[in-house]
Amino acid sequence: MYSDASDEQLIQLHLSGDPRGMEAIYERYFDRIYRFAYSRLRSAQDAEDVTSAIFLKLCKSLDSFRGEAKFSTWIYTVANNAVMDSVRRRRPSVSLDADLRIDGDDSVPREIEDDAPGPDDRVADADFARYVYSKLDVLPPAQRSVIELRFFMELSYQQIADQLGVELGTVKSRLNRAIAALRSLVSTEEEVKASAFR
Amino acid sequence: MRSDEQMEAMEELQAGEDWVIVKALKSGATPRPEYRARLKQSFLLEAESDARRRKAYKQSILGLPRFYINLAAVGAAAALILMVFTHSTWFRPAPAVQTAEEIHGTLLGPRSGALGFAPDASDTADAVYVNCSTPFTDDVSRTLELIAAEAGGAVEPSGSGNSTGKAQATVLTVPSDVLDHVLDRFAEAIGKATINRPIHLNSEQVTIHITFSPD
Repeated sequence: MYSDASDEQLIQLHLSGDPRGMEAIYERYFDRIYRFAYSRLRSAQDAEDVTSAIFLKLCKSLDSFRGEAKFSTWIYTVANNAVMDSVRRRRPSVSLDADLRIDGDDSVPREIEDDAPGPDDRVADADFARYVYSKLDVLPPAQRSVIELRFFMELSYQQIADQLGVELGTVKSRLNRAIAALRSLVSTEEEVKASAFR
Repeated sequence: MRSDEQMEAMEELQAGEDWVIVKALKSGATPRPEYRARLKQSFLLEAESDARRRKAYKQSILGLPRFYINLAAVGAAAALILMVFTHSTWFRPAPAVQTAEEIHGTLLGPRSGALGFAPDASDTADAVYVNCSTPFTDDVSRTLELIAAEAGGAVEPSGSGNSTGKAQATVLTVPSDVLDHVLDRFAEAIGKATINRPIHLNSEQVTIHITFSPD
């Protein structure tokens, strides 16, 4: 019903007392927020917690939305803050890269089950997607931000440029470098794994 | 300028082999359908509640636009603050009622320092000062009383004695219109005297201060 309406129009609809504006906002942003949260937290449960917190506080948070920025960039900032809060609240966990210590002195490398899928069915495989997500941490923060804004929050290039305060060309080049870096990371690990089984 | 759809199509073409990565980023991390439905239900309840609250807030109080409500609130707050700082002025006790004499004394009397002050005719009796060289014997005193009585006035009691060799004084009060006649008659009572009198008489009664100094 309101699929053609802009975010700002939907917000105004809600502010005027019509809750249908927020229903459309939910349909438009639920997946984006969840994907963004999952990419950062790498846990479905944590991503759900953060997504719930964001949406259940969204209506009251609208008072801080002045309309100076696009709603999509504003909600990205809200989501980013919520994710950072969640990260801070997390209990410290043992890094998967850390070696196991036995008897206090000797240590052996932790055997990690590599869940990298084979190349043939990778596109359809959700495991491969999660595997790619896990490589986001390796990217420089500037490149990771562009990936998040483009593929998770689904912002246009211009909106990304406005959000990050950089030129449009910078956004494109960062995005290309980020995708290339991910491709390179995935390929390298696959090659290492393949050579280990030869 | 290209639309987002066009940009995305170009992105897909340019990505080439990297499209696998892009597809993974876009399609990965799919939320559970039951979670999506449950959160939507909770969210819509929250949204309806918030929308109702905002609608109620937006509706005016007593039919007045919110601008005027806010304006009135700001005005009332400002008045309250002003009264807190000026309450000693607002609630100061009313001054006591002054008598006519006090008002004249304060505003127009000699203590006011006003130049050209002219007392009201009925306020103060004109005064005449008489210095004589004859001491006030009993005969002189009786003569003065007689003169005063004939003129319709009186001799006021004086604290000075009438013994010879001391300074003496007495005061007569007579009507203004007979002052000249009274002064003329002083010659038969006190002999030669120096008289200081105002040129114009403003009061109905005139006080005549008669003093005798042996010097």
